[in-house]
Parts: sequence; structure tokens; C-alpha cells
Amino acid sequence: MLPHFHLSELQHRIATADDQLAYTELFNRMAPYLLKFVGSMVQPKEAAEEIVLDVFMRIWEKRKTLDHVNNFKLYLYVSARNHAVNYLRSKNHQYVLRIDALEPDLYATTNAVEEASEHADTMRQLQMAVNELPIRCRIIFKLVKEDGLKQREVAELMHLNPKTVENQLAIALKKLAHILAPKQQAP
Amino acid sequence: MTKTEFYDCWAKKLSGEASQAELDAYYQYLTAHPEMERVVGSVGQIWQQKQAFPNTDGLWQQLHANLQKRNDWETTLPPLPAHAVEQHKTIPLRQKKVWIWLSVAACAAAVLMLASGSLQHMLWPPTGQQQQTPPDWQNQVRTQTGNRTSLTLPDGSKAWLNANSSIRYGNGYGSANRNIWLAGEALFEVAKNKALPFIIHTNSMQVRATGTMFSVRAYEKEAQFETALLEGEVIVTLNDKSHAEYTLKPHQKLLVSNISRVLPQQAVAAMPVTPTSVPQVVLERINYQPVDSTAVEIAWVYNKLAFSDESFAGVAAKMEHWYGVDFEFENAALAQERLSGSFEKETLVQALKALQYTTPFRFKITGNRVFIYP
Repeated sequence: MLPHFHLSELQHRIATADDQLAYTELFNRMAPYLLKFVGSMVQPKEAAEEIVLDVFMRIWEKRKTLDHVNNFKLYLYVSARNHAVNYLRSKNHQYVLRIDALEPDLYATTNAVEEASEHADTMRQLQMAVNELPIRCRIIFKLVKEDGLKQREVAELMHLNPKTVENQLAIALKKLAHILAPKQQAP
Repeated sequence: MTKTEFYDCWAKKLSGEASQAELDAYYQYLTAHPEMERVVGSVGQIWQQKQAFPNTDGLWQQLHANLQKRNDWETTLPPLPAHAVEQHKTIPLRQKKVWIWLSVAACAAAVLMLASGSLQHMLWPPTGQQQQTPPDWQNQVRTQTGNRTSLTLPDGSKAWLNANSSIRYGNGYGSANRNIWLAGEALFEVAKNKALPFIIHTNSMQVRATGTMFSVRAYEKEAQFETALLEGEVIVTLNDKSHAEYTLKPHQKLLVSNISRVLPQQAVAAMPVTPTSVPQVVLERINYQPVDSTAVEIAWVYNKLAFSDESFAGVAAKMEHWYGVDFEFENAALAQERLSGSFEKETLVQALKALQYTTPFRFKITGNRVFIYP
């Protein structure tokens, strides 16, 4: 038996025991990720928050059925996506991923890389390379890296072929490796 | 393995989906292509850097207000503050540390308490429930290197025991008391019982709870003991003369220097009577891994060896229990390097090689000893 802190344990506690602490913990753990994800599709910020609120209200309302969900984490992302798409439809918008919001903004966390060293230069170059990846490639990269989704989960969430996700990740890594390549050849 | 296959395996390794065969192939390719090691190391560093997440405190207030209007939401439970934002922020280590210096009086205690537990009792006789002699050890559960186990205690509380650890409790456990003696590392899920506090005794501190979930790391060989609280509340009491108490909130961990660690005699003699040699207490936040939102502190429960911005020395201590080896650093600065990572199926050599990608060092394995040198 595993401790509660695994998402599936939280799921089980919410579904079978109406466990409010588990529900609170679920919110604490997942809301920042889901808000960022929804924010990449829906603007303004208030609308994105409203959607995440709906997702979590629904989880409490439907908690009795949660035990049948196989992959709870993916379920949360798919619910968030569906709520977002419904919202956009109701507003007559198209389902468009906002690239800038989904952008893995590595700059935000790397202020420490201020020093002028060869290593810091390399890190900056890599960050720029990530930000310059083609849109789809960058989104896939971000969902695997930042959200910790498995490749097949990204495929399901984005309605892509699993092979495409695999290829796109390999492309991303190749581009990053390429950035580092010329330096290696220099003596 | 072709270059394309290598990139696929690398991607799978990063997303935590590589099979043992794929991992082996991945490391084999790297051995054959040493020029890729720097690439893998640099990209690995970028991979570890996490972006900032939006604050959801306000959202929780709103959600909680909505839920309270429903008749299936018990309002007797206090709403917990949303801790999530802080958890996911990348905080530079120095900022998140709060140093609490104990009094100079405690310092002398620290030196004296290098002696055994029994001497400790002679110096400071037990007061109330605070200090109790270890019981007759009727019940003992012990794990060896590389092994982990779990058990349900007589009161329904659960314990997960990491490698090289033991817990002991007397026959009165569950009826007269809930005292447990721990050496090593364990995670506890404590059954609620306000009348009988659940107390973990270690050399340097006691951890008291009534119903909660927390982990304690108290290996006698190590310099620091750690209490990480996942849920509920615990009170940590130091075993020195100060009996200082610290109440932890969820997602906090308390590091206490191991006052009874046996140091070489010269080191004790040389120990200056300054605040630097008193037991140090550090409050930090628990590190959650984005991959599966488990805390790094309890990754071992899931058969994972994980660490986040930890010193190489600290990582080595974890690897010693994991792989059943002893580490020796030939260079003190190297032991202070900060490392992050997570291993599951890797062999010792594969794990060391993976660490080399981000931190330059060399290693030599002789029998059970791993020498780390620049």
C-alpha cells in the first residue's frame, strides 16, 4: 500500500471517503499546473481561473464516479481542456493554443545564470533554443518537461499520434544537441 | 543503436518511460560516444529547471466559498491555505533556509551528548513522557541495505521502512503508549488517537503526532536528522538540554544536526565553543517532483532514489543505503556540489555516470567503496 500522496491515492480517498483533506491536497498540487495549461488556451486570466474552478467543482460533484478513472492526472488535464474548448465555443472562438502562454519560460527561473561564464552562455543558448522550437514541438516538450506527462498522455491530450509525440521530442533534443555541437568540435 | 534510436531512448529517459533495456542501450551509446556526455549533461540541467506557476491562493478561497454552499461539504473542517504556489516555486536554497541558533548552553550539551543514550539519561534524568528508556525491544523490524518494507502497527498506524533501518516498540504499544524507537529512515501514517500521542524517538530528537503523515530520517552515521511533514501536524522536540520544540506545518521539513554522531576524538577536542557547534535546526520546504507529484523526501517508498538540489555528500549518503556501498570524497569542495536527479532502475555505475553529466568528477569502485575525486 502506498501513501496518500500519490495522486491515485488522493483520487481514491475523494471517491470513497468524501475526504476533504485529500481534495484540498489535490487542489494544492494540481491547480497551478491546470491554471497554466488552461491559461495557454483561454484569455483573459479571469476566464482561465473560472474554468479551473469549474473543473474542481465538477470533481467534487462527481467524486463518487472518480474511482472508475484509470489515469487521474490525464483525466484532470482532459477535463480542463474540455472545459476550455466549451468556453471558447460558447464565445464563438476557435480552439487555438496560445503559444506565448504555453512557452516554457525558462528565463523566469534562471535569473541565477547571470554570471558570464562559458557554462552560463551555454545555458542561455539552450534556453533560447527551447524557446525557438517550432510551436507544436515546444508544446509537447513543455507538457513532458514541466507537467511531467507521459508521451502517450500528451498524445491523447493533444489528439496526436503517439509516434508523433515521440518524434517531436526527439527533434527537440536533436536541436538542443545541435546547439552544443559546434563548441565540441573546437579544440 | 542508431543515432535516431538514441534520441528516442533519451526522450523516454527524460519522460521517465525508459525500460531497463532502453536505459542499458542509452548508457551504452553514451559510453561509445563520449562527446554526447556534455550535451546530455547540459540538456539535463535545462530539464531540471522548472518554470514559475501562477498563484492559486485566491482561486482556492473562491472554490472553498462555492463548496461551502453545498450540503455535502463539511464546514467544520478549517479550510487549509493553498501551499501549492510555494511548493512549485524554484527558491534559491539560501532564501528558503531559516536558521535558528540554540543557546550557547546547548552547545556544551552537544559535546557531552556524543556519549551513548544511557549516559544521556544519567545526565538528564527522564522528565515525564519526554524521555523514556527504550523498552525491552520485544518487537523489532529491521531492513538490510537495498531493502525496504512496510508494516501495520498494532494501533493501525502504518510504517514504511527504508534500507538499513530499524524500528522497535514494546508490548505496551497501542494500549499504554505509542512509543517507537527509530534508527534509519521511515514514513509513518499515524492512526488518529488524541489520547495516545504517537512518538518517534531518535538520538537527537523526538517527533510527536496524534494523527498525521510524516517521514523521519535518522541514520546514526549521518550528520543531520530530518523530519518531513506531509499532512497534519507534528511537534519535534530536541533531545538536548534545551528540549526546544518546533511545530511543523504541512509541506515543511525540519533538519536537526545529529548531536550524538560519533566524531573522531580530535574533532571533538578541536570543536570550538562557538554557536557553530551547537545543534543546528533548519526549516525547509518539502520538494515535490512534477513527474508524479510525489515528495522527493519519500521517493524511496516508491522504489525511487530521488534528490533535489542536495549536496553530493547527501546524495552519496542516500546512494550508500541504496546500493550498499561506502563513498569517499577525495575533495571536500566536490562533496558540496549541488545535485538533482531521480533513479529507479539504474545500476550504481549508470547512476554515477548520469551524475557525471551535470557535475564533473571521476570515480573508482574498489569492492564496496566508491572513491570520488576531481
